[in-house]
Amino acid sequence: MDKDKVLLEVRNLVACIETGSGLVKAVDDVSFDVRKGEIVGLVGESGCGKTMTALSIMRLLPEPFGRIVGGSIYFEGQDLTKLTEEEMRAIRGNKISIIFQDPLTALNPIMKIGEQIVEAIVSHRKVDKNEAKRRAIELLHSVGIPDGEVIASQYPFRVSGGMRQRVMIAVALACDPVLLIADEPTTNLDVSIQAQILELINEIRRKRGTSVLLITHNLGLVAWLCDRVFVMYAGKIVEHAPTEALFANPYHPYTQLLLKSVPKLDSPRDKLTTVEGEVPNLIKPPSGCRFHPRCPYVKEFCRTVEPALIKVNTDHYTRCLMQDSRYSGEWK
Amino acid sequence: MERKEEVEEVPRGELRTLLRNLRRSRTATFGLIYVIALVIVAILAPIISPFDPYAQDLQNRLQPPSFPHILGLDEFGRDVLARLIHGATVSMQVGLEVVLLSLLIGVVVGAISGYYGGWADMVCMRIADIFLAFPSLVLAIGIMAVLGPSIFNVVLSLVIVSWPYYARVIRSQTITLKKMDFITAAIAMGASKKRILFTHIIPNAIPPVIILATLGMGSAILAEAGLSFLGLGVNPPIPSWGSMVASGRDYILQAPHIVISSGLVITITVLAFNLLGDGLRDALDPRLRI
Amino acid sequence: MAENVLVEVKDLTKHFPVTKGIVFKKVITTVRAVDGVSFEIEKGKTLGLVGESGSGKSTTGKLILRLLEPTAGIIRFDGIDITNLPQDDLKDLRKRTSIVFQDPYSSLDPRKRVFDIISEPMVIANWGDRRKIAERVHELLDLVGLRREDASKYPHQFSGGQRQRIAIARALALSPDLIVADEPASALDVSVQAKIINLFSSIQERLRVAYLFISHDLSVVRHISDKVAVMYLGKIVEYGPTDVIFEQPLHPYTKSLLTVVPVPSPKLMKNRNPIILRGEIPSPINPPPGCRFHTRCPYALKRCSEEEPHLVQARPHHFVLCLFWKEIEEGVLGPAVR
Repeated sequence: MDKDKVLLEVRNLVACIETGSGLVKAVDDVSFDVRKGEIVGLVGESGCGKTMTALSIMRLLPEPFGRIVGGSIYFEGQDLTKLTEEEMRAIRGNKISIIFQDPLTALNPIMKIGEQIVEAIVSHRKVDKNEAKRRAIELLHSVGIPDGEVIASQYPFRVSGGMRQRVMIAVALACDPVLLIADEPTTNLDVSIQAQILELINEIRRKRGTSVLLITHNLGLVAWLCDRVFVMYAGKIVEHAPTEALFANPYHPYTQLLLKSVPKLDSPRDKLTTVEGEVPNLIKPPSGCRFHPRCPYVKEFCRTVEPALIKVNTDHYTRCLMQDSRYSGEWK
Repeated sequence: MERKEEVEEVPRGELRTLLRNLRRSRTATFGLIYVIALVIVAILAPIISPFDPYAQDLQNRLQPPSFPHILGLDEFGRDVLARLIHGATVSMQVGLEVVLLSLLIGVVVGAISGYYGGWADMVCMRIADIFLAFPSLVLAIGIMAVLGPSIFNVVLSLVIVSWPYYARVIRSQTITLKKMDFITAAIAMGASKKRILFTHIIPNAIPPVIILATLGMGSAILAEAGLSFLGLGVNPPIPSWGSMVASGRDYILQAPHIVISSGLVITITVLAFNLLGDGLRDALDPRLRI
Repeated sequence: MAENVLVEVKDLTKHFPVTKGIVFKKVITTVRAVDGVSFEIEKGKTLGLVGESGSGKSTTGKLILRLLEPTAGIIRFDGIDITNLPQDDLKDLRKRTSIVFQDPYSSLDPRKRVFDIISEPMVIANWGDRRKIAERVHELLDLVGLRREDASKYPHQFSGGQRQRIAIARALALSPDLIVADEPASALDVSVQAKIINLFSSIQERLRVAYLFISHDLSVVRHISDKVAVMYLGKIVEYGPTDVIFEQPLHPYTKSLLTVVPVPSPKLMKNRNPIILRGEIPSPINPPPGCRFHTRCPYALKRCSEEEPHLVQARPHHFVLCLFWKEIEEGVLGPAVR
């Protein structure tokens, strides 16, 4: 697996959406990359901009409410932000696929499952209907649905949530994409079914070499699947590192608090650490460091100086003035 | 912002937002302003009316619009504008009474039907279905033919044909609300069925019906005009837009101003209510949350 | 019944009939949501009820509050058999218990002010005059970490986490002995979850309220419960003190769940040997014959599909619903090779 080859490079991406109360920079100067054959995690709580980032990559922001206003998304030598809709359509579902949290709304309710997979295949490949049908059954098998023929003739609402998620993955894999974006793929699933789907995603990476961008709020999933992690807060990336490094040595106060606030399965019953305050309003984000109103280590200058991403270790960066050599002395 | 989507609702505190949203649509704003103006005219009719709507001037009958009779005189020499203004009172009165009474009956029947279910529900809904099966105007005509023309009877017949619409909407709202957690919470704290019905279900079931009620006023006014046009509405000489159209019809060639002015007023009024109702529906729609 | 037991449940069953027809209803099948469940909740302590979809945990929560009518079984609250009491006689129960729901957006009446929402239990119970109620409402707002000014606002003006606090304040209005918490933190963000869980813990410490804490999240349940009951398809498959269940699980289902719960520790995740159950969760309409778990159990033998196990005391206070728990524990019976 050629892990050093960069598949997707997002550079300084900025995306805005119009809400009832104003314009919001949901994605504010976000940069990350996904290398071949790796699983990258984009983690954060709701409102941090991770879903918007995913939609931006796929150019699926709801026009006219949302659009990309800056930055670039490099994929296979092209800047996706500069492509026409038709050129994007050739990539969507073909080179890059996305699966969502709720398969019930992502799948067409009035189309049989088999037909939807066939549709995914024929939109990008020149094959006849029968060949497409054969491939569809094969795909269902590959995602762990042994009785593919039976399932293919059903409508989405007739099968269980876990099954629907597998179907959605089958649709996503129909044209053998090099990158799979998974936006909260298991949030609505039971624990035991979630385990099956996560195993499946792992298998997809192992057997097909597909890279995965996993978007989630669940740090446990990140620890399970991801090679590298990017933590988002209020539209910005606040820390990123290889998974083990991030969990062993979180540098950003938000990451630290997030890790401490999750009840551990194996440790004694002490009080959970909490993060003070609420998720900020992105219409008027906090000045300086976005996390400063909730940071236990906040200093005066945190309110005015916006930190940049600073390297703290190999491949490990954090957006905090505590690591900025100009200011770090204040915390001694 | 949390992961789950917000339940559609319009709490009282949102009146200002509602008005702001309404004003975004020019047609809805027009509807709102027109309706408010109409209400004012209807209330202040005796004061603002330039002339007595009953005063006849047979010598100058069918006089076309001129000063001081801006809209001319009708077949009995009565000032058309004055009759239109007083007709507004009749229309608004009928519209308001019909809507409020239908709403009252509809809410009671619909809420009880939806909340208790079972036989009561079935019986009420089948009765409602019977009324809904008739074309409402035909049914109203039939009732008026039996009862005889008068404002009271007009209101009565229109209420009889309209309450089922409200009952159905309230019933389906009630059924949806019944399953919500805050109702279960009320049961868990020992609230009686009556309390739940009146303090929790009905206040939450009404907002969507407001739109129906606004549109309903428009149709009640139109229905009254229709009945009066057919001679089954309010008694002459009480001015009603519909009867003005009816009597003006005989003179459409010599004195078109009667038919035109009364017909136009009916059209614009119903249009205004519809625009307002549509505007309300859009303004109350939960905004796209991304 | 022992002095310290607040709630005692024996063979509690709830079957929902599935009917066809509008006027003359014909029962075509039943949803066996809860099928013979027994447990105890001690005063001032927490029983965690854990399970996935179709396990019947939410239904159980509603049953012990008589928000649903049991089909069979016995429910005792503070020594009194409340199973078949007519609704009118449940006033006492209603005053001494309350419930907190999962969805903070539908559990508060959107048209009522926070003050009215929190004071409603007191109004219904005729608890005190206006001044006394107002004082209590302010006290409760303080207790859950909200401000006095919040009493005059409407639910939509608050975030999900804050709405849950309002719901908790309402649940505490009459100083209940028992609160049924049905996935109270599941719909909230991670950092907000922590606050709500801490709130539950501190309230129990201060006020000695008992909880039936229902959740699908094993980590949360471990954190807050004294005892745990693991449910699967309407039955309790394992029951005992929290630490024992989590450290020495006996039932194959529990064992599996504990190995697939995502935990924020890459080392742990890599070193785990996850027991991933195959197949779908069966429907409670037609549960598998014999042991309900046998269709997904890695240890299942033929007898498991024919004979229904009974709850067995494997260790002091530790109960398990499995025909072969001993053999599995001793290593005599191993998992089938995939």
